[in-house]
Amino acid sequence: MTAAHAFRTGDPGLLREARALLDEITVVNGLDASDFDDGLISSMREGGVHANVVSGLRAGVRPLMSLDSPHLRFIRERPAELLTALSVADIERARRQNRIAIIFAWQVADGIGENEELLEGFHRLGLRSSGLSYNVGNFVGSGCVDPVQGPLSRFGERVVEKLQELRIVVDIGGHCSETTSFDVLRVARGPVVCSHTNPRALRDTPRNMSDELMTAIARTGGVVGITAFNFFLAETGRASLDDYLAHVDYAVRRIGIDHVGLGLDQIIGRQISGPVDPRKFPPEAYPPMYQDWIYVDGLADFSGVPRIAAGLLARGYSGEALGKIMGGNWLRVWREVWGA
Amino acid sequence: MRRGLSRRAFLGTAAGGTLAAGACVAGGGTARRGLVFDAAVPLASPATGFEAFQIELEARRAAGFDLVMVPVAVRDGIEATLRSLLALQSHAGRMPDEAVLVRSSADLERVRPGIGVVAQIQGLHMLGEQLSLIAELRRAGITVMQLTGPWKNWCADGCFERGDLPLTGLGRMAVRAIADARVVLDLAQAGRRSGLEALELTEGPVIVSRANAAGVYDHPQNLTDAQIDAVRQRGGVICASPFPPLLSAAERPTIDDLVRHIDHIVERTGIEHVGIGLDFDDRPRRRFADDPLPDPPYAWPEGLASAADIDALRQRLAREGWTTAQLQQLLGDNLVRVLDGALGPGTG
Repeated sequence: MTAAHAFRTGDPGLLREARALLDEITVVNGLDASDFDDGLISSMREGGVHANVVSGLRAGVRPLMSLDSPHLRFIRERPAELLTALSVADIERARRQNRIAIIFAWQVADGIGENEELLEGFHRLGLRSSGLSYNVGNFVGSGCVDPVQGPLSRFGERVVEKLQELRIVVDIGGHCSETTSFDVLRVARGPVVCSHTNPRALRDTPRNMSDELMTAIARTGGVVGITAFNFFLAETGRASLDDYLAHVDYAVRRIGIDHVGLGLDQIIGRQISGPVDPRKFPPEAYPPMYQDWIYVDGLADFSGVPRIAAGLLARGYSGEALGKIMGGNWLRVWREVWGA
Repeated sequence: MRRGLSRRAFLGTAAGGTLAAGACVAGGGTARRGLVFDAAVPLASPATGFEAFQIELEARRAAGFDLVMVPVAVRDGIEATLRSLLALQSHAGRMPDEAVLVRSSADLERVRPGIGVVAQIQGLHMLGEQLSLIAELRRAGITVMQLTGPWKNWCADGCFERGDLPLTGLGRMAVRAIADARVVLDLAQAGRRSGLEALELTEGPVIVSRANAAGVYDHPQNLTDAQIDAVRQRGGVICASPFPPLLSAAERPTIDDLVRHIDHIVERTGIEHVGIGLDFDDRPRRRFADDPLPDPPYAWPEGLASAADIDALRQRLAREGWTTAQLQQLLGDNLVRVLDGALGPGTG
């Protein structure tokens, strides 16, 4: 990254150009961890984000984890504004109707207990993407901070098979250990994604992803989403937009323009500060001195998304390339996995 | 192989034949000795109702058992676990002269002339990572806990998994929470590495409620010599089992096979670290296609196919040269020692 990039990113003309480009494409965020509320929706509107993969809580409940789903009710109460996307056609319809498309996802599969058949029901409720383990090992496999990592469990193999049978996106890497993730690639068919991570080559933390796994995901036809989370971007725990762009750029150079997307992983509405549970967020991966969970300047919410687009233009990305990174790649994978 | 136990083992001079320092040793009134204890009695009745419970318990009592360890949860969630525990409490409450839910050392003295029921869960999966529930379930009457069944969960790897992973960070904390709550840790079905790590970590009482010796027949649920030695060092008890897949590769294993396993454990540990977990249960157990388990009905050894056949094992071992006192250690005293030390005098 150079000073010129930084200067041009803030160039108001370039920013206007980028914002205009976003209006012509479908902008998709591959993973969001915000509280699911009006603040999230207004932030999406402000930043020009058309579709969002929601994994965050509403009323203390994860998406679809209750039949009386607070998430679904929230959407039902705002029919002109929101839509639960079950297909790419739904996302396109939302775009035409100027509604925001919400895709429901889990970051971890433990909502099914030990019964993969429950995925049938969750799929009908709208689950379209699922992670497997979250930092620490569970029924399915090991997590990224486990001292010793292993393959999928017997049950984990069944979970992956069932997810694929139901055409739910399998989300590996990041929180899930590399060993388990590679084992998923052994049993999975077709595109597999990582919804939100960063290249370990630029920032060496267990939560980030090796070049080998990024490459393997790309080979399935999948996408790797890049987070805007400070710990994972910069050693200092304070990252700039240029750091974010450098991670996107690295991933593109490594695995190709068709395999990188946004996976901002913001936590709008529930800023976390102070120490976190060391069992799930051990200091080796989540340095205690940076335990105020801070995002890239301007990217704590979606208002900074046009600046990502401007930054990519400043780095010489074409409008077409921009379209892929900002949403087209996610839509391609979803069309293939979801089947519509 | 028809030979007597080695004299060395019987004299208790085998390596570690004495209890390790820090192991739980019962003060033990005489009422707590001589009880016959089966560590693996998967009753159907907590789910099916009182009459079945009464019949199942009476069958054990008639066969001469004073104590049975009963799983209230195998793969069940927390709700089913609590329902099962409540049913067990309710059933036992309806036959106060015949059944005692064992929650304290004092309860061990009350089981006769009826039968004592020790409530176990076969894995912590249902806790959903809430470690505080370990102490809550102990207060509710569950006194023995496995970390996991034969498959991986959030705290430990299972013996049927390919990974043979150590405990997770949470699993390490769970092992400590189990000891702190005066719960008996049951390492049956844990993966080998997870089980060994738990034995290194815990200061508390340990059993393995159904396992044989991998040195005799290397089924993944059986214990390696390193595991057997570690259980002995912790003062624990390994409960040998006639469940056919754990005995040998034969189509129908024999009592001889079981004796070989018991022999192996006793030779490594001395007579104080062996018990029985008969596990007579013909319901299906296989979960995944390649689990190393046959379909029921299981080919129980000729002459040892139900609790009523326990005398066959007793007589067989007596012929091998076991004394009455030694038989009693195998059939109950060793397990009672661990349970007694763990539960403490409180009311639970």
